[in-house]
Formats: sequence, structure tokens, C-alpha cells
Amino acid sequence: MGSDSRHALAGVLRTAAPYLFLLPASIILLVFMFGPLGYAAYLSFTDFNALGVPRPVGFANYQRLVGDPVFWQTLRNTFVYLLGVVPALVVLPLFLAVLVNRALPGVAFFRAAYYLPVVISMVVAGLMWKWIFAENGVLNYVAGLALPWLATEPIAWLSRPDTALAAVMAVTVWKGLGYYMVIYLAGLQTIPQDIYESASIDGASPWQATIRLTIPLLWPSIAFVAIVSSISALKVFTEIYVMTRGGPLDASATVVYYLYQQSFEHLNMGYANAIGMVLFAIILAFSIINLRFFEQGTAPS
Amino acid sequence: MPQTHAARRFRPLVIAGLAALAALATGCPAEDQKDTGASAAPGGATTGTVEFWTMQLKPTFEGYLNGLIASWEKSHPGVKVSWVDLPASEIENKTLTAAASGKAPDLVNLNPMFANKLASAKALAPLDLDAGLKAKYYDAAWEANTVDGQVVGIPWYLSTSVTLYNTELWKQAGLAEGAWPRTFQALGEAARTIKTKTGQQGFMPPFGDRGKFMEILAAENVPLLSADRKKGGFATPQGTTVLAFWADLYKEGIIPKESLTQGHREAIDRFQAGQTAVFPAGPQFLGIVRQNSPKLYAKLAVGPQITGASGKIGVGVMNLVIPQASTKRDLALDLAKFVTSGENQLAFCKLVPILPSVKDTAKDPFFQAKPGAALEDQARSLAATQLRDAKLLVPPMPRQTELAKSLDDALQRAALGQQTPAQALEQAAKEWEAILATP
Repeated sequence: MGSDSRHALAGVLRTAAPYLFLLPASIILLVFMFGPLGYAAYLSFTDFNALGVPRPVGFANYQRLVGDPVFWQTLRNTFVYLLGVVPALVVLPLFLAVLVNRALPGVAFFRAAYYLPVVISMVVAGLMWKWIFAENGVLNYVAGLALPWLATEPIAWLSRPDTALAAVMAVTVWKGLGYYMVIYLAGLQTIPQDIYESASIDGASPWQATIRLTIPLLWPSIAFVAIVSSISALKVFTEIYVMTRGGPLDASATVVYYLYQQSFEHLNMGYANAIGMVLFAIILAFSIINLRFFEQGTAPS
Repeated sequence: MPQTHAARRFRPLVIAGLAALAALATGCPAEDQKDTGASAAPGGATTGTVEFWTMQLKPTFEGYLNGLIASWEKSHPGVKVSWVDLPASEIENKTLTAAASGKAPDLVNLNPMFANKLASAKALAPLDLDAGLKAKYYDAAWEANTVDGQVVGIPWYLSTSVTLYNTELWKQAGLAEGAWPRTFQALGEAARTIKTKTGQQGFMPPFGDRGKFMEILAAENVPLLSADRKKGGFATPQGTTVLAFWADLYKEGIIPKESLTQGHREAIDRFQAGQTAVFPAGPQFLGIVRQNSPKLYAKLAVGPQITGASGKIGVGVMNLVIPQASTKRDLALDLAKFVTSGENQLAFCKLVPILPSVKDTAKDPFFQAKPGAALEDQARSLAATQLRDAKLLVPPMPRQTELAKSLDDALQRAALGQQTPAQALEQAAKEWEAILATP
């Protein structure tokens, strides 16, 4: 009898143990993640202004969202940003990684150099690029020297509605290159060299080896980079805050920037939370699509 | 019946749980109830610790403030002041979160724009002051503390900006030293001359700072609100002229293209780099230039503030306000009166080129510069003289930042040529109607 109940207890413990180990992390997630998320969802149905007592207003915030042209513009900007930045951040670092993945003398210097922008704080980088992009900045100066036949007026890149967003995108790509390069580099180093040797014996050119071997074998890394860079593209804020403040005419404002503006500048916390909920839904949907897509890609290998 | 018995046993638990959930969901209404209950005698406590928050005064003025606090504590036995100094960029968010969580400080140093935001959200305690007090202060300073007819703050120190000139660039353009522009109109002409003669941009208006254009409209005597206060009142020929003036300066490249989106920070950089000739700044800015670029400092001259057709001089006000959540309002008010008293302000003004909010104090000989005085003294004297004409340019309005954004957008549309100035202002006036109608 005694040993029987001890057995039962051990059985319960064995089943419960993994959950017990998961408990601390789950509690932290619950308190700092799902709790606030639930509260934000609640606030999105109120007129909360950061100071008063929130009063329920039903779907009023969401109705306002549908009819708010600035929201739609920031949503469009966010997708333009996503479509511009993510492909660049998936492809360019891959080439860089292949380039620096060789036993050249001094290759460590290039690896470090490409990684350097990652180490710089986004605020500092943003300020620096603000000067570069200025009407009287370095970019216009260099363009004037290099392309004198263009002879156009200097362009204030960050102060024109048609260039501001593109300029910010360029900075994001510049800053992200090194980070994703390192991820690819780690992936490349896990590919055994003898595969390439046998490929070259079979008569494959280096180009064919890259296309047929490297890219398929790197697929998990590529998937990771695509997902991570698109999530961070959907959440972009710092670059915009530092360089353009969403201007001019909201041409460079993304959804997150608009959310910030509504909450901390105008104190429309209820409305801002409604924007946050929509953004949350978009990111969730996007991540699921991404995961499905890349899971299919990895399945055959 | 066991079931109902159990239900009865658990009912208190369920109610407590629901209450806790409700408290969590509504941001602690229990706290709020306690607060309204106590509001019959909000000042209550006469002992304890008064928490006093200031904006960016440490470490430069640590000695001065500690001295003030020590002498106030001496006359209030049993009371301690806990002084916390916060960077200007943080004090808004800190006060906001403190007020929202019901654990606010007792006395806070804020600017009127933000104090107005807090007051509209009923987060500041209305002050009950004797009628005589108002007359001691400059009108503009006092008006900045009045939201919907209710006084919510005591003015502390003031600052009116003067205009700094890079005389080298100014003279290169063939302009006479001392013939400083007084109006934006004259400034525009000077900038045009500078551009044609030197190719440089004379100055950079910081339109990227929220509300700058709204201030200019007010300084030009353009009514901001319509008579019924329900929409924008600026879509008039007069308003259109003002907008067209700035849009033209932009289109002609007389002011930098970055003016539209960048603010004061960028304007400082350009002036300190010697790229612009004219820069509006508080007298205290002279000390910064002397440190950062002594070469430029040697070329500087000081002129009066440039303003619009109204002749109104804009004034920056620093307030002391008492949050609604404070439990020591009487003590806080007493401390506020002490800190802002005439003699204590004078002592403060002697440490840094700021101006007192008390009229009599500004008459002190300290504020009259003798001819040939140092640049800082000239600037201080000029700034103090200007106080007589100081007006609050933009009165506190509900949803002020949203209104300001709408006008900033109108300026951008007109400057970028997307709309005519008249169309841009008409659209903004309609936007104002929608913003003002939002509860």
C-alpha cells in the first residue's frame, strides 16, 4: 500500500515536473506580457486619457480608426517600409556573409567593420544620418561632386514627403546589415566543407554551388532573418522619432509612431490602445504566415 | 442544501475577487474614492515630508535650492522637504505616471503647456489664493496658470527671448549693425538680403517644434479660435497673408528646407556653426555659446525679440503646481509661495539670466544694464524691459497639441505647394472643428 501511493506520487510528480519548471517563466510572461496585453485590450474600449478614470465607450475608438485617414496613411507607410526593408535585409547580408566567410588575411577586419553600425546606438546613428541627409549635408555635397552633370538643386531628403520614408529605410538597412550578416555567417559555418568539395568534383561552378547548396542549406537562417526583420520593420520607431518625427505631413509616420503620438503627445490613450490592438493582430497574422511559408520550404530537405 | 451552502460560503470570496479585478481594470478606483473623500480637507497634514520636483536645476543650482529648503524647513518644524530634480525631457512622463498611479509629488515645477494638459484632465489641485496675490505678478505669467478660469499654478521664473545676431554674416550682407528687425516681416526682408548677398540662409524658424506656427499666427494678431470657439478662426485674409509669407520664404530657399520638420535643436546647431545670422534665444543661451564657440561669441550682438504685427512679446513661464493627488496641499502651497517670493527670486536671478515673475523684483537695479555692459547683462536688461509688453501668445486650449499639429500640417502643405495658403488654412479650420467637438 505504502509503496503503491509512493509510486502514484512519483507519477504525478513526473508529469507535473516539466510544468513546475515552466512556471516561473510563465508567471513572468503573465505579469509583464499577457497582463498588460489584456489591460491594453480593455483600454482600447475606453476613453482613457492617462490621468482620469477610463470610461467605456464601446467600439468608438475602432470606428474612429476606420475613418481616420492618418491611420490608413501610417499603415500604408508601414507596409512600404516592410516591403522595402525586409528583402534588402534578407538578400544583402547573405552576400556580405558569403564574402567574409573565407580564410582571407585580414577578413576579421571586414567582419568587424560591417558589424560596426549594429553597435552604434540608433539615436546616435539617426542624428548622424540627419546631418548627412540635410540640404547642406554630405550626401548632397558628394552627389554634386560625383554627378555634376545632374546639376539639380540639393535635396533635403528628410523634409520632403516623397523622400523622407525612403531615407529612413536606407538607414535601417545600413544599420541592420551587420547583424543579419553575423546570423548568416553562423549558418554558413555549420555547412561542412566536404559538400563543396564533392560538388566541385562533380563539376559544379562556385556560382552553382552557392545557388544549389548554400542557399538551401541556409534556409533556416534565411527564414529566421525574414521573420525577425519583418517583425522589427512592423515595429519601427526609433529611426523615425530621431530623424523625421513622422513628418512632413505624416509621410514617414508608421503605425507605431502614430500610436506614440496619440498616446504621449495627445494623451488619447484609449485610441492609442486601439491602434496597438490592430498592430498586434497584424504582427500575429504576419508571423503565422511567415512561419507556414518557411516551414513548407524546409520540409523537403 | 450543500450546494447553496457552498455558494454562500464562496460568495464573499467571489465578490472580493471581482472587486480586485475591477480595481485592476479601472486603475484602482478604490484609491480615487479615498481621494474624493479626503478632498474635504485636502491640505490636512501639517507634518511629514513634502515632495518637491524641479526641472533640470541640479547640479548648477543645488546650493541655492538647498539653502531655500533649509530656511523654509526651519520655519516649519516637523516638516521635511524631499527635493527631486528631473531632466526636462523626463518630468512630463514622470509626473504623468505619478499622477495616474495616485502617488504624485506635492509640488512640481512645470511649463504651462503641460500643466494645461494635466489641468484639463483634472490632475491638478485648484489653488485657493487671496485676491491680492495676482496683482504682484506679470499678467502674462498669471494667465498662463489659469485654465478655464481656475488658477492651477504659481508662476516661478520667466524668460523672454531676445535675438542674437552673428554680426559678421549680418555685415557681410551689407546690413547695418543696430538696425535690428522688430517684426517677422522685416526679418524676412533681412533674410532675403542675406541670401542674395552671401548665399547663406539668414535664419531657421524651428517649425518642427509643435505649436511654433500657431504662436506666430497669434503674434501676428490672427485670431486662433472662431467667435463661438467651435472651430479655427484663422482662415481669414489676414491669416492667409501670414501663411503665404512663410511659404514663400520656404519655396524661395531663403529659409532652410529643414525648417519644416526640424526644431530648435537644429536651429541651435546651425547658428553655432555660423551658418545662420539670426537666432532667437533666452539670455542664458549666451553662456552656452561662450563655452561652445568663443569665436562666435566674440561676433555676437543682442537685439530685441522679433514678433508679429501685434507687438506682443512671447514669454516662457515656469510654474509651480500642486497635483490633485497630493495629501499635503497646504504645506506645498506655503512652500510654493516661499520659493516664488520676490527676494528669493531675485537671488535666483543673480545666479542665472532668468527673469522674476514678480513685478517689483524686476524693478531692481540689477536688471538695468549700464551702457557698454557685458553681452549677458545687455541681454538680461533687454529681456527685463520686454516683460512689460509680455503677453501670453497662445491661451490654454483643450486638445492643444492636436490643434497645433493641424496648423503645422497646414504650413507644410502650403510650403510644399500641395495647397494654396487659403486652402491649407480652410482645411485646418475644419480639422479644428472636429478636434474641438471630440469630448
